[in-house]
Amino acid sequence: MSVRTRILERIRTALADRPALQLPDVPEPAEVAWEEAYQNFAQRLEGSGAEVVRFGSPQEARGWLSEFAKSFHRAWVSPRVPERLRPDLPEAEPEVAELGVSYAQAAVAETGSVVLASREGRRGQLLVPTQLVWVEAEVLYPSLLAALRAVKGEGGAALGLHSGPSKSADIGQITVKGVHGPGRLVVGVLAFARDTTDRSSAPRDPVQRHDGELKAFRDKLKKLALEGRTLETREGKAFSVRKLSETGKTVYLELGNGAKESLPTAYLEAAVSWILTLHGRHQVGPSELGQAVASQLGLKSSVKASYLWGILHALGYV
Amino acid sequence: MPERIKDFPRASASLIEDHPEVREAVYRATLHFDQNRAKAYAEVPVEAWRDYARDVKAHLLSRLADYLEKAEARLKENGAEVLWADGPEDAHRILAEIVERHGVRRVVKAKSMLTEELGVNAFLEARGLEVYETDLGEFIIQLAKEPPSHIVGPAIHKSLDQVRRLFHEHLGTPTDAEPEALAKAARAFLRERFLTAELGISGANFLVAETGTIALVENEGNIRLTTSVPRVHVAFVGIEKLLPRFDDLAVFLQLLARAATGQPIGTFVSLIQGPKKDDPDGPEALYVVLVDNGRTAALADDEAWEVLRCIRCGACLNVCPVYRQVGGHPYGFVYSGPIGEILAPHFLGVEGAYPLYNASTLCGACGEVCPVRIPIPKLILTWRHRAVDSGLTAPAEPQLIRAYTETMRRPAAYRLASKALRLLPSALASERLPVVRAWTRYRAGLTPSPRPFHELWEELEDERKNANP
Repeated sequence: MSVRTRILERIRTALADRPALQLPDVPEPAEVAWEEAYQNFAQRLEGSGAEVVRFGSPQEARGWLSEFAKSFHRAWVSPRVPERLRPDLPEAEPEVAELGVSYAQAAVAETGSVVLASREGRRGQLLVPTQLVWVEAEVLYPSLLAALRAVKGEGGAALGLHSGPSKSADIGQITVKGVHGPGRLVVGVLAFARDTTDRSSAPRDPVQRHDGELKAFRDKLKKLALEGRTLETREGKAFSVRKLSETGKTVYLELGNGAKESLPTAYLEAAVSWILTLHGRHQVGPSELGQAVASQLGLKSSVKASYLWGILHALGYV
Repeated sequence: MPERIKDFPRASASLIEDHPEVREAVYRATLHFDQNRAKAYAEVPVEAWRDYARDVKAHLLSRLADYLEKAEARLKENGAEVLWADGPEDAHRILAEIVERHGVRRVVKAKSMLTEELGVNAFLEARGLEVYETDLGEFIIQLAKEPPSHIVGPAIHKSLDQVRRLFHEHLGTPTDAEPEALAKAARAFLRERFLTAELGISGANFLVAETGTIALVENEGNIRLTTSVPRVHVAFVGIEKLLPRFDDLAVFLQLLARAATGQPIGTFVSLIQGPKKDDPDGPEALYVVLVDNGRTAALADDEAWEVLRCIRCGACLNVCPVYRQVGGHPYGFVYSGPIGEILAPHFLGVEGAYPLYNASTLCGACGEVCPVRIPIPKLILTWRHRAVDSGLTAPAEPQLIRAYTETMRRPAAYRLASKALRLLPSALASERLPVVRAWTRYRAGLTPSPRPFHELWEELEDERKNANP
């Protein structure tokens, strides 16, 4: 008998006469407006020894960055950081860079944390003595629960929550900073609407068009509309593809409650191209998908990411 | 190990006499931790969170086999290899195979109490591997060749001067170096190890069954480095570490940090979903070893299974009046303090763990602070009852307690005994009586009050009657 079988059998024997106990609901934190969330975020982070800077416009952020960069010689910059937010410094490997610049997947007001994705590279988040993290206003969540829900299954093989500079009190109970990870954490909050018309903010690695694959995708989509089977968003909301428009440019959806929605086919195609550029099936979630589509097409508005994801999930792309 | 456990009373006495600096360091650190915890608890709806955390863990344990199978399936989907270990032998065999397969010579380790249970360091070193503990506290005690003395702060028993001497000897820092300089020296030494080690070993604070996510909490960044830089990562996970849902992390991560150190959340939290996929870096292989090592036996114990809810925050150590005096080493077991007292008998049996569960005043403070509401004082009593039933206590003890019970039940007998004590006050100070001898060995002597309580009470009653006729 394998160790696995033995352990599981011992557990089942132990529990044979005991009832299964109820699983309680997860406590839902109160809703908090953005401004209050920002205040909590800044207060928590500063309380744990980090620095927080808030910017009201891209120009302000840019101006601050060029001053800030003057105290460093070399930087590692995450490929996710848009052009206009990259310091004017020679780039270096994380092992020798004095500064690391990351782009937060999410941020948490309740705990004062930035959520960093392994997809941008983990060494650059850990080996540098000083870390600068950019936070877009829309990814600042009031609670840890809301942030975890938003990043679930996204960002690559690992997420890291950083809530202050590296510290330890293991030597005689005296707190020292920068023991292993960055000893200085600076968080730049971009408290303005994302300027997606700025061409320089486009992703560094351009998404390739995969015309042959896209044709196959359109066929699958048509089939989906004909079958009319029930699809699900990742949150478990049911919907179906009702039909495609005459021109094929719009997808009409019917939601579980009978409501109607439409989705431009271009969004779906942009999402498919992005996924194919990343070489195949990917563990990405709705918000990451939505961000990728929005940045490719230069959109500011919502891209109805949860339905986008639901369709691509049903077709095996995510 | 049981031999050292039997020695607890003598070891604690000689520690207090010969090493007053340990008592001072432990007292200061635990008081500091506990004050921070109290402040941090007061900022959140902590009673509701503790109820929720208790119920989540209780539910999980009541369906543990199903959740383990679910976690295993998710981990495999994420690209991890899942292995199972009954105890140290299995764990060692698994490690030996991984070391062989990946040509490992150098290992960096993140703090993990489970690997202490399994004797991982000694096993790897005996095979000629270099093993480096990377948590600063663990690094200090590795240099000092000591086991950890606290779940969260393994080196809290060491004073700054002791660390200075250790680092001077091993890293060549000046004997009067400031903590910053010492930390910098450790950072430089370990940085080189991080970059050259082939294998990183960690434990796990939580394993989410729904998603196969391993959650690790820390303040230094060494765990993130251990699980990110070497090309192979092995995580040892106790089977009780599971959480049902990803969303459960929201409260558990905060409650753990608040209970342990009073922080809103650990400075670094790693949520690991598998080996690297499209990431630019990260380990190519992830092994998750699910470890029993006595846990299924604890689960089968209808009266004492609740200890498995433990999330290893150390709050009960910080508040314990016994632990605060002696620190973790005299306990002679991987886990010390109140939680150690009720974990040890599951690992070593009621006899092997004797007399650890006597190292408590039953003041109840540990139960008051436990974030998952383990009834620690009740479980300590459970083990004491079992010790009496197994004949581990002195034969005179149950007889004495029976005599006491009889006396207390009969007013006439009680009055007689009370009078006798007052007529012979020296009886309570006589070194010839074994009970008195045991009592006065570590405590001030007993003297009866000049007048017994029942007389004072009667007098009070009379006064009250006269005042309100």
